[in-house]
Amino acid sequence: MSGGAVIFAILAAVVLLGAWRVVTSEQIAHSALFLGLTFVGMAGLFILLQAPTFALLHVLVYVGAILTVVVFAIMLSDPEELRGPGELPPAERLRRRLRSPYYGWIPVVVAGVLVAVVLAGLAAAQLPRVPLGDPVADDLRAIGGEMFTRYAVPFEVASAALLAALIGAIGLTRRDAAEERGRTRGRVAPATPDAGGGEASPAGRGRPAAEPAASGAVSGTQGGTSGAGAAVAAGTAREVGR
Amino acid sequence: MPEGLVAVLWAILKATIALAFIGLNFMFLVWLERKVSARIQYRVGPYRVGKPHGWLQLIADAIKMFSKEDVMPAAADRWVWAAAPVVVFAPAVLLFVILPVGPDFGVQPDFNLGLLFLSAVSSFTLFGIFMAGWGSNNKYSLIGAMRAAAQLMAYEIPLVLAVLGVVMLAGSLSLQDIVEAQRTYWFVFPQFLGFIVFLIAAIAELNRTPFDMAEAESELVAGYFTEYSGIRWGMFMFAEYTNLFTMSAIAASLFFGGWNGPLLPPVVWFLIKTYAFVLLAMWIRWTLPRIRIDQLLDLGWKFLVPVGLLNLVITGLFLV
Repeated sequence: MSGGAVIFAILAAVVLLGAWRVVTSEQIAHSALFLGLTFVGMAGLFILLQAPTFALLHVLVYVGAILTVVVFAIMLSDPEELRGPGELPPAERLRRRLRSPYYGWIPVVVAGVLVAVVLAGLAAAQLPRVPLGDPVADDLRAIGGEMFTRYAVPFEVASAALLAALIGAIGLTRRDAAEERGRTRGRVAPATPDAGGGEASPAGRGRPAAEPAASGAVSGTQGGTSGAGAAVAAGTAREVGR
Repeated sequence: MPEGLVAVLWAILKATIALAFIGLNFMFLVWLERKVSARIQYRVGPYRVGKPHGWLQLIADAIKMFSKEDVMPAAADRWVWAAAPVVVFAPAVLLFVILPVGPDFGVQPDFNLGLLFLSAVSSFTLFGIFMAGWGSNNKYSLIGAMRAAAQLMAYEIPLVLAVLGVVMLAGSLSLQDIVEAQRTYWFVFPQFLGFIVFLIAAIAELNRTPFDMAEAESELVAGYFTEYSGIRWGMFMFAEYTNLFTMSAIAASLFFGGWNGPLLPPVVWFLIKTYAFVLLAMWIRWTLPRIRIDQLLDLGWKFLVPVGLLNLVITGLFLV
């Protein structure tokens, strides 16, 4: 086995292990960190393919931007909710996982179908072989030039789509005036009773309660009395969720 | 000796020199910060250990740091907590790779993706901070890490915008080419707006007062690294001062001609300009009070980003 193959094996193991732990971690913060490990492993694979520009861009976009936003979102959530139970014995955890559709059989089926589709696609596609070490346009100038000439239209369409997503996100999070008045009059958000029925929570980890808890915290800053009510309601929702 | 082996040995030698310099520079900067803060506050600073101006104090500090007990909080998230100092420390050292210390001198200053490397590697620091804040399982640490995450986006974008103006003028991402391009005039003159944006964003990136909301010792008890002691705490400090040096060196290279200068050898010019920025950062730290986080976000999004974009437009017009 050559040196390159050994490094590839190590990087592949890092990527696969990281990806596996992203979906199996009990705590969402651990998932985020393993996601970062996976991205770093992917960047290493790009370097192995002699494409350092892609490696750096990969780190910059995925670690520097996307994972940062993920961390930002985690930090804005209720830390008590995010830490999860953590103290369950492994056997009990395994039993709960296998019984629940979210952690047990659905992911297995989905992953199996995905693997089958990807393998079938690979077999049918007859991908062209690029000799290792051949620079595949790994030049920032070339990439920039292509992006503003040959791929200018897809590039602009992608940015327009992102802009639309941004505007949509702002529109969704913005509360309109009527709702605002409702809140100050003491009508607690209708989302709270729904979350009380915590049966959607597969292993009793209280995920569904996270949302009303967050909204409770927000309304807590909005108006004094209703904020307290929402916080209490969210607190009970959290209890049931556990 | 075969060609490849020579290259490897040469690279190892350069890396060793860089690491030795980083260590010495760290101790010197800690001592310097104590002296500068003392001078600004009408004190004397370290004076007793070592005769002229307490220079042995830095050795004493280092011995103390190494011999202290390493305490892990009982509720800590063990692996995350233990790995956090390493994740903060590694990028600080890695950034030394791209610094142009002199003409064709440095670890790898002609790396043609230098500034891309800078922004990619420095994005790891946030993860170290997040891991420290999360792993400590302490509300102050968590608030500190949360502030760091919220802050990051407000100054990363202006920082990149400010650097882009210089890249447009020099036509290269390699720091060496950028310094070479400033033989006739410094880029601070055409890029004055960019320089102002860079300076503010860089101080925010370094988490130094007035932008040190993430550690805010008076309200958060040092924020994300409250729970660290001994050498782990030392690694956070190490990363902080190494980043201070690196950012100063990058500021000097991007806007003030790097190692270009008359009479003195280039390495001396590089060090003079870099330490001038280090002193400026210390001066700012001990002069200004800490601002609030919403003020930083306002500053970042409503002032630095528009000014950075304006600077790019002006630079583009200038080039056309």
